[in-house]
Amino acid sequence: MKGLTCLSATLLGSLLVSAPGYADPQSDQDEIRTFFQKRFPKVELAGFADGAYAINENARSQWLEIEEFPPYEDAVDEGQEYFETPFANGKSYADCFPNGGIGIKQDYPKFDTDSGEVITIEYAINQCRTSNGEEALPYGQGELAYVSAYMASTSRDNIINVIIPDDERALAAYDAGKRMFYERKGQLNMACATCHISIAGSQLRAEITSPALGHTTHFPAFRFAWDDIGTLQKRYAGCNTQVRAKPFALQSEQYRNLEYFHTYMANGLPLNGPGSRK
Amino acid sequence: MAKTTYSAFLVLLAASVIMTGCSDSGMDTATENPATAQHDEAVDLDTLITDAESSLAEADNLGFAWSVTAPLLEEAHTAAKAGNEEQAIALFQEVKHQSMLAIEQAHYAEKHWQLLIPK
Repeated sequence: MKGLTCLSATLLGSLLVSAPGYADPQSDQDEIRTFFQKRFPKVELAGFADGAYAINENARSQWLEIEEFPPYEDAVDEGQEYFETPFANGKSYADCFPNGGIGIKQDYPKFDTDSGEVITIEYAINQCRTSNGEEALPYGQGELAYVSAYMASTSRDNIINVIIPDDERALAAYDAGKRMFYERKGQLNMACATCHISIAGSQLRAEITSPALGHTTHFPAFRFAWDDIGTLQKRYAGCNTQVRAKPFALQSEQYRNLEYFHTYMANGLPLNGPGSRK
Repeated sequence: MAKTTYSAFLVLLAASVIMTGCSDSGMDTATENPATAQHDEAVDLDTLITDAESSLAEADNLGFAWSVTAPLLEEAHTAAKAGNEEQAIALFQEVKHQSMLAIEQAHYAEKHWQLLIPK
């Protein structure tokens, strides 16, 4: 009888632990992969790192030609210069990151158990600056995006390995990001998932909607629409605006959580940023 | 005679289709021209401004404000300052209307956000 009571208590306990309805990230990842592998059976898992260019041959051949003379090369060189230039206090970006900041982008976003928040690589770059007495840089494009692009270039071909620690706050952040991905917003009443899951691979005006799986591998990206390198969150804000939803501030908690979910879905895919995109 | 009856039937059918179409509003009402708003009752501009601004603030707090609404609010204030009351009222009403729809959208998302998850 005592054993039965203990079993009941354990079962009740496990129900209570899962009561907030948090997602199971591994199941989410499996579901999304299964979905896309069924929809695009000819694309290998790693191939999803190429975005829309993995699913459309014409677009792919144009993109491969563009990549022969990458439009982001100057930005990467500039980013390297910024990265290697010491701050006024003599320290540099290399002092803020593991392995001197080289080949580490695959581990971002990270959940910081001290602060209880998601840290993207761009957020960490600005944290590095302010902790060394430098001004934070504007997010989205310019110097910060170039530094991030350089760091991404040193991480090419590394396998994305975003970790969700055993911490309820991390799971809550992941869950908030997931929810944001699926919520319909804006005057057009569309979610991220509308274009990048439900109708992924379809023609939307002149564009092919890319699969959500693998989106995060190639950012910061040179987009011809921007004529410059820009960050993933700049793209989030652009997507929100396109459906006439008020975008959140770049590196806001909302967008960092979204990036956490979005990148976790791409775990196991190779990083191939910076990339070029229409 | 049969032909006349048939024609009358077609006219009635067409009329009912048009009437049904006109009465089907839903979310599309957001795109209605604010200038067509009815002003049969006297509108207290100050109250309307408070309502419009508080509705937009609520939508914003929920994270569901529309990008097109704040510029309309600005336009409405400009019209009010210029003394163009009729235009200002129409614009503040549209701000309120869009914000109410955004709030409704947030409440809908609260219950149904999982619908787009692939199964």
